[in-house]
Amino acid sequence: MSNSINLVSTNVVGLEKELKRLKIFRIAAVICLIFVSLLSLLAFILNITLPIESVKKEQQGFITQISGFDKKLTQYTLLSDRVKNISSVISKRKDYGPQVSVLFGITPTDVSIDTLNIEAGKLVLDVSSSSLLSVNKFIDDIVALGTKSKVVKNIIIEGLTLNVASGKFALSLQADVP
Amino acid sequence: MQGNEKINLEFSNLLILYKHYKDYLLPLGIISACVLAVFIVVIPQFQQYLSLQDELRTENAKLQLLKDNYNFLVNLSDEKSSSDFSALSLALPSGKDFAGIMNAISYVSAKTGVSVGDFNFSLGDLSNKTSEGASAYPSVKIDVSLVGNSQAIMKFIDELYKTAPIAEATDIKTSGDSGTISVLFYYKPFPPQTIDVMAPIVSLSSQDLSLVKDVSAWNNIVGQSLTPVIPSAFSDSSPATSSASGSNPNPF
Repeated sequence: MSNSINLVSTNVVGLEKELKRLKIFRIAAVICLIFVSLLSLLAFILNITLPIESVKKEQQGFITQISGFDKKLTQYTLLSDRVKNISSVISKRKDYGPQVSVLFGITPTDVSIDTLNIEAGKLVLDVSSSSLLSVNKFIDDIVALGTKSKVVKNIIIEGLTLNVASGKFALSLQADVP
Repeated sequence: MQGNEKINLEFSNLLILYKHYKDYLLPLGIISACVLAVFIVVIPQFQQYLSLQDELRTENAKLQLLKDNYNFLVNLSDEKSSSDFSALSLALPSGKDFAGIMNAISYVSAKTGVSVGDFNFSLGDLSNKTSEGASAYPSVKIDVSLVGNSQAIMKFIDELYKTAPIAEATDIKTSGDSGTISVLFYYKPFPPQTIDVMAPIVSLSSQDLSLVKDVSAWNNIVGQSLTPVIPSAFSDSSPATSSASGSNPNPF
């Protein structure tokens, strides 16, 4: 005979625990169901409320309106093309004007420029004067320009001659025009 | 016999387990279905939402571009654009502009007082294709004999640089009171017209506007008729024909 009797049945405790677990499962299932349903609904609403179609429709409207300016658009496109090309040609074309102007500027009044040739960036210059001092000054000035290398560079004096008949000193030089 | 008993035993075990846990089946099923629904429906829907948002952003950008293009075109002065285009087309013709070249030389000669002697055109290929090959800017080369001293000839070149069509003096030879210059007169055919409304219209920069202003003030442009011509002329604007006629270079 047993001395002690367990009045609380272990089965009842287990059953309660199980019922509690089942309840938690059921609540979790309902929460899951509601959560997923809401998420799906939210995603659906978000997707259908994106105004892509209206934006496309508006685009189409503008395309139609722009096509009315077809001539204007073509003209402007060609205008831009001309601007771009002219700008490019101007930036690339050689302009010897400024350099030659400087050369003219340093040429003394009694020194005359007999020959001035510029070909492919090479300058050939023949000057003459009855004054050797003026020719010398011209040489000094052009050499000074050459050291700056902005107007002319790599100056080579090819000859300084005296024409006895005319009494003139002739200077021939060549240089690179940058 | 023994096998049957084993199966029966396992089946009865499963039955017991089923009876014991059958209340869990529905919640577990719902939870599993929810998990599946998240992977099959919810996540793809959100992914779609994100991609649609990207698409919307792109479409909005396109719309904005179209709006900008439209506003630009509405505000673009037809008259100004047309006159600028005419001036620039005189400066850089679409084809060999012999009339323009002759005009330029005679104009500059008259302006600088330098007499023009013989001259010699190097025409190049008279077909539509440019003979200059790799050069992006085809040109007509002309050797001009000039009567004048070095200063006068340099003045002539300086003035030629401010005269349409656009020119470049490549060789300069002066000796005493005469000289010869080689000049390239540039031209450039119009690009093929494929107007894309979705392409952004870039307005001219201040430098470009300054260039247009400068070029418009060039000799041979001031006083020229700048009335735009009809668009149909453009379709027939082959380099050799459009400008050789010496008519208004505006293809409209």
